[in-house]
Amino acid sequence: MDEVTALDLYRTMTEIRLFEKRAYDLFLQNLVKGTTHLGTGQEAIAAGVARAMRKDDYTFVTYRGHAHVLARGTPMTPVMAELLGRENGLMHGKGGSMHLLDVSRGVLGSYAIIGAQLVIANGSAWSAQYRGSGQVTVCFFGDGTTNIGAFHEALNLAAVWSLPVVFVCENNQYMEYTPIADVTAVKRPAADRAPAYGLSSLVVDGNDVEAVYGMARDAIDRARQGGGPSLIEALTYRHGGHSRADPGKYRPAEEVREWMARDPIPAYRKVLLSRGVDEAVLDGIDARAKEAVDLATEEAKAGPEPRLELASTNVWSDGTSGWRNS
Amino acid sequence: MSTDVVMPRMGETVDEGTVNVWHKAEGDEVTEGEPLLEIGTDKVDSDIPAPVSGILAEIKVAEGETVPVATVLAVIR
Repeated sequence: MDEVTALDLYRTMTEIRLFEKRAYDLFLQNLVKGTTHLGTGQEAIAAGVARAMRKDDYTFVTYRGHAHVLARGTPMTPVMAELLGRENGLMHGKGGSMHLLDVSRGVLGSYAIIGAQLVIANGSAWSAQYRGSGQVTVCFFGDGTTNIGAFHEALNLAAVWSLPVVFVCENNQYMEYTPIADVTAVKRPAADRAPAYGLSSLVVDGNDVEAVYGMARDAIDRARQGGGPSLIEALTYRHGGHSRADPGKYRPAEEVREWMARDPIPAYRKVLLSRGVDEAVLDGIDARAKEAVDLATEEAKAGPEPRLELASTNVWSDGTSGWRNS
Repeated sequence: MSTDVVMPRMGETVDEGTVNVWHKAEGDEVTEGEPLLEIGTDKVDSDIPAPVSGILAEIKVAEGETVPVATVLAVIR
């Protein structure tokens, strides 16, 4: 891999990690309005897949979506301000953490209903296919989603219509508080179901950012060339709990230790150093990421509470196209 | 500069929380990220980490007391 791409992957993961750590701190200070679901430990998936996408491709995410929005290039300040419920937020402070949307960067929404986004992603993929635009849709979801009806419906239709869509299962081993293995008939909740829809079983180490990037690039290229959908299962682990300040005590200590030792960011740092990347370069990326998070926090906190008259905008009722987050 | 430690909102319908245990005493040195206290709600019991490094200058809510969300529990200087 060329060094520019490699450093970009490292930067993206680092920015996401520090952003989410700050979101957690702000939650504990009661400044975050509503809930948060952090993807700490899962950054390699967001960074690797986004890097393999074209600028005009589409992204669909879950309520654990900060990472994917940032990875598509949305600046930190509007995302942070949205978490704090401020008017300078991505949706003017009316959506919050679970509903991030940035149409201008192809992020067609964060979905809090489990599995809802898969069928809608088929719609955006069908639109691209119909228009012949060459755009690919990437749809993220968690392991628990694989036991939802919409997962199976969406895969079937995507395969039947050979839609340009890549489904990415972030298998972080737990659906909320339940180990996915306890409630699933097969070992690999996504990949083992792929053959039922005529698709290949694709499993990737979701903590290896270059492996994720490589597999995503192949799947996206295939979709763009008319080769139809793919389903990727990326194995990973949530460092924290499900949401808010959930301590995740339902997880065995040994399991947590094993996965923490496979933290994707220090692992990738080690890879880059072994290839001869100057440590000062990586330290510089770390420092700039921290500065960016500090600045975004200050700018978000400085934002006003949403004005009352904004309540009826961005919901079509204003009779304009003002639903776009311009 | 001092930093307040507040009662976080542990669930959409959770309006209060109880201080179960203080892991530190007034005057103790605390390091950012280390468990400072455990709080309890009807949804979950959870350790709350120190938001910054410093000295735990003041504990404002004693063990066993239940207070509304956003109440200042302690001050770190």
